[in-house]
Amino acid sequence: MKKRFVHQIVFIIAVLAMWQVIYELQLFPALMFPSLGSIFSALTEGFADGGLGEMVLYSMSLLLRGFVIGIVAAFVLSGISMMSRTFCDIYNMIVSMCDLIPGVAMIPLAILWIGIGEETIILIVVHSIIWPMSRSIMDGFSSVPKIYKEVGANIGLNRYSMLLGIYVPAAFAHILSGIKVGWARAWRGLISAEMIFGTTGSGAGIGWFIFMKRTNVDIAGVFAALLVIVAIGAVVEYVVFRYIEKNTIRKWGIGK
Amino acid sequence: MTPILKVENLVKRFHDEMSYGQGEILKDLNFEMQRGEFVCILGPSGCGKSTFLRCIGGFEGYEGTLAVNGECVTGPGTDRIMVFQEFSQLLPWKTVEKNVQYPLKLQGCKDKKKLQEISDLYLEKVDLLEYRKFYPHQLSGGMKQRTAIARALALKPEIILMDEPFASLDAMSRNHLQAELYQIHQKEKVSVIFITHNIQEAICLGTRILVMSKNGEIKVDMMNPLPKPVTPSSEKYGEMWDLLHDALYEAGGEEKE
Ligand SMILES: Nc1ncnc2c1ncn2[C@@H]1O[C@H](COP(=O)(O)OP(=O)(O)OP(=O)(O)O)[C@@H](O)[C@H]1O
Ligand SMILES: [Mg+2]
Repeated sequence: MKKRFVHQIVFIIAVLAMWQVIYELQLFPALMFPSLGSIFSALTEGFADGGLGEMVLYSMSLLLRGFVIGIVAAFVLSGISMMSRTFCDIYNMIVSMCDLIPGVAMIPLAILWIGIGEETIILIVVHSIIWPMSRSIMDGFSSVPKIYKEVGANIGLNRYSMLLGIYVPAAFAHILSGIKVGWARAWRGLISAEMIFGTTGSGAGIGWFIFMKRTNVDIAGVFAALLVIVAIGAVVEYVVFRYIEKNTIRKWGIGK
Repeated sequence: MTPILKVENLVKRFHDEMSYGQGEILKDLNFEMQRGEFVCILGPSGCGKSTFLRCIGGFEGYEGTLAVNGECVTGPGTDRIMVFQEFSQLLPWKTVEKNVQYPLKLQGCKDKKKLQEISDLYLEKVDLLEYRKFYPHQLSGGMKQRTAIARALALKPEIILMDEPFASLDAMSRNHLQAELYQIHQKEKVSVIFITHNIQEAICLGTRILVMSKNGEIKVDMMNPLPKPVTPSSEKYGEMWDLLHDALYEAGGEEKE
């Protein structure tokens, strides 16, 4: 555990050092390959007066809303498909097909249907998460060991209470991995949508920030935004998901 | 008085490609059990003991009649609590005590203090009180089975169905749990069906003993004549042991030496 972190940190430092060396050697034009210093100052400037902080918060709020809607919808639809054979067959097919469509490819349609606005971006986020999430939930539900269902029926759970009482906790390892996949996809889908839309009227997100920096040929700014994206992703992965994992499947001794 | 359990012409087949012949696991079983009886079932491995118990529990479809308290068995219910043969029967996401409390909650017992009292009482009986905060994956096989027993007892079902619950225990805790179970049975007048491979266990616990044969029939069905508590030094213990041992040998279809 400790050792892994040491490895990773040493690697990151090495990459940064090499970056700076390449910059000093001036192998590439500074425009393409900015110094660490200029990236760092773009970062601080962005947060200080470029509105980067606000944009991050705005992006996060869109993401969170889409995420919650997507997860709830995935649970409801997968739950129904547990109850009805017909629905299950059809929903399985829908999931397999829709999962193939990249979120960005939905953007033209989304714009046509609901115009340019927050709802459109939220729709893209929902689209990114609902299918992998449904797949994981359904896989998880169908691999719940028979004995848990029998015990559940024996101690008085019915068809419906069995869902929350047995299926969800028993399938939690699958559900969690679905959330992780969904999170990564939603995060990427969101940034792409924002870059394509620009502002949505009510606010601008981090994708817009990148787009602006690119148009202004402020490459250090683009790198700064990428760093922010990676940092947020890492915090969610290493802090939020780890925390959930530690308090659920690891504590229960299920899953990997 | 209606018998607590009435089995008439019970036949069990598994309908899958694997079972050749007629695939009849249980052949025309007839059996009647009165309230408060402690029935021990002996039989060679694979003769259908677990299958029989699972039919009573409502976990398997069957042909024939199977009535608990005069009512036909159509599915699982809290009046018949099963202690399964598998170690994995505890809910891994709940601690030992929550595993015991959860079914009670489902039965409508909402009072936290009461729940705690009940789970403490029964965990004490199976010697697991100090492990009450553990999760199932932190327990040994025998400890898991004991938790499952506590869960079943706490629910006070009409019939407890136990499938080799003590098979993985050492002799000491086995004796101790046998005594506990017998006391609970005496005190609470619960009816028990108990599968075991251990003749001694059947003689010590059972008020009635069945021996099933390899082809899924009840071969011996007898009241246990030995007065409780039974010890190996009880009068007629040896005779009884020999009788069951011979019956088991024949049931297994093997020659006696
Ligand atoms: N789900 C199933 N499908 C097909 N056959 C089964 C199934 N479950 C059990 N059987 C068969 O039924 C027979 C009886 O099995 P059962 O588990 O009841 O035996 P048992 O008497 O409990 O044995 P043991 O003492 O080893 O636990 C076996 O021959 C087994 O192959
Ligand atoms: Mg068995």
